Amino acid sequence: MEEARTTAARINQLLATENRRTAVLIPLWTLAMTATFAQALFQRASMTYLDYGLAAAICLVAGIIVIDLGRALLSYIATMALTTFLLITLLSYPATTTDLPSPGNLLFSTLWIIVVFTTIFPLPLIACLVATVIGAMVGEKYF
Amino acid sequence: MLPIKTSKRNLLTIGFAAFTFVMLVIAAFGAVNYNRFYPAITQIQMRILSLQTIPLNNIIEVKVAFAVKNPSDYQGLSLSHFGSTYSVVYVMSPTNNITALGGNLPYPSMTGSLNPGTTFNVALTTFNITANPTQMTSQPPTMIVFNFQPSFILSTFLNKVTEVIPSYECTSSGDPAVCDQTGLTLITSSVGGGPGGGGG
Repeated sequence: MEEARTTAARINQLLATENRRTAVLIPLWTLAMTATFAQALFQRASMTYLDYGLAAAICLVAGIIVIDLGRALLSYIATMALTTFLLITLLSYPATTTDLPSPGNLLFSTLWIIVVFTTIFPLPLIACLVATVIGAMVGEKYF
Repeated sequence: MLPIKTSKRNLLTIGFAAFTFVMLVIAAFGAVNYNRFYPAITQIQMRILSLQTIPLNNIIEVKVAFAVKNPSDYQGLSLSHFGSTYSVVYVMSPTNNITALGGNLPYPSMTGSLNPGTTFNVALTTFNITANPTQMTSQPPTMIVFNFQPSFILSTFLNKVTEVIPSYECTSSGDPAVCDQTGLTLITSSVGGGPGGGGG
């Protein structure tokens, strides 16, 4: 019981201010988005509607947590920039560290940059932005 | 002592963190498999299983069989559209070689699974070469060396965005031989004019 109280107190302290909450949320949001995109690209090199739905749901919940619309938009931009960077790194790194014959060694990295950009831009990016805005509006009304 | 209350918003944040953790675990399994993909495509072995030469008057009938093996533990690879070009080097003397370009070997359309540890035997193909490239002299070549450049389309999880085509170089004068991987070509079509390239 005492341990639960301590944990709850720590969590409340960690999320005490909006800045702290944002500082916690952006890394979590980035990791959730990266994992959602990565698990699909690692298996199929493409996203299904379910994967896109999951990404939109993540943005919706993140928007609800942030509440403030301006902060939500800025957090979203930061998250998507970090997600894109992480995805390209995660997908390209194994190709660059393996001793692949030419020209595959160079082409795989370029291929993944194209795949990541065509997967994220433009419709999924807009859809997630809309989900974030809706989430912020929902959060403002109910939280 | 009253328990400390956690707000709905904080509970949602905790739930979000838990969900993120679950997604990371799922992605980690995919990442482990993905990391094995590149070593696997470089390890795919091609070899000449048999190379028979049957002299028939002025021509030599050549029968060649290839085998492709996936020695890695990576699952999800298969082979299609096997093809090969060849050239023949007639060794007339230690200082005199004659090279004849042979063209493409005739192969039917084929597909085969490259499961871990299994070997796919490519159908035997037959072609003819001249027995003596210098018809004017009666001196036959002391040795005939065959150079093959086989390649195939490797079906992978990347099929939606690119075709992966490993190419090999094999040299034999009649014995089974192991081929060297010389290039890896990617042919993209569905990712909007992406990277493509020729073999190395």
